[in-house]
Amino acid sequence: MTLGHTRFQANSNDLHQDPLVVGLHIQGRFDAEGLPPTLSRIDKARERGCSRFLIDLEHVSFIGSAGIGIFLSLVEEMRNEGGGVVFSHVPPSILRIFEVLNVLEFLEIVDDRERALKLLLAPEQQPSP
Amino acid sequence: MSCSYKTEEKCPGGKEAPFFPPRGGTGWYDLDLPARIDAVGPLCAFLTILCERHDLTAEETRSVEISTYEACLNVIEHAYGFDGEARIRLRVRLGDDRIVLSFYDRGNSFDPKSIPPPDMSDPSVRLRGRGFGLQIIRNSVDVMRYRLTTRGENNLLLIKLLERGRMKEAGEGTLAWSEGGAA
Repeated sequence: MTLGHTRFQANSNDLHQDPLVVGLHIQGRFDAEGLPPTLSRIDKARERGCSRFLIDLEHVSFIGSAGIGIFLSLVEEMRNEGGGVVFSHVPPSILRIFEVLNVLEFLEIVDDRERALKLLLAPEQQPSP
Repeated sequence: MSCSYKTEEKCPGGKEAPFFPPRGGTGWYDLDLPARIDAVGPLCAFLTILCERHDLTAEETRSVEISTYEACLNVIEHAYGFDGEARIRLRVRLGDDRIVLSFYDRGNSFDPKSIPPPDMSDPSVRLRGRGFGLQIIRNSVDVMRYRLTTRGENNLLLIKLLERGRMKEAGEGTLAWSEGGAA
């Protein structure tokens, strides 16, 4: 049986001209099998100095604890670095898992990309010089 | 993954029990799968179909899926230390008012009760980004119980009570039915 794999699309150019904002468009099952490419993508972006991430979960059908762990860890790291992480288009089933783990209050979740970018580019989200 | 289905109900025409039970039918499945991450997705997909056929709500189906996924991952990582040759057995019982998942493995013993819930309000816990699977299971099912069987297997029992059972037997429900026979 073949299941959906985690795929990544988009980059800062697709979403906004600001090169510091990285867009991750995750699709399919975001489970343990999908973690290495996710981490690799995030690491590469961070090596380029990116500290603001827009993560689109519209086409994610499943998320496991390891996937949530990556998100929570990234949120805390970016917060410490003066950046930010915003999630958009989160399906109800994924919201429910965030709820089950009681982490909703620690995540910035918006309905669309425009609002996500607005949040990410707000002055208080600008990385410290 | 091997799979067999048994039921105490008579099948129409005396035929063998179908691979998937009749919609709403009760019975149990015995599954045997390699303790590998790539085997867990197909298992979850199978259980999702099973839950849908058993008329579980979308929410109940998701609870079964995520609990199964996290329980298997715990076995793969903590009990077997990613030994891909090892096996996990799972008995899934479909009841009128509940679904019972019973996992068996021969890896290192691991009592979930010994692991306290993570304090999600602590930024360092969130920063670590690990150790959340058990909490997801705890909050997704109604009963989680661990025991070491007489055959030396770890057995994690999960029970998800179904909304239709709660509505039917409001105030009368018990959790007396645990496994319904040894696997």
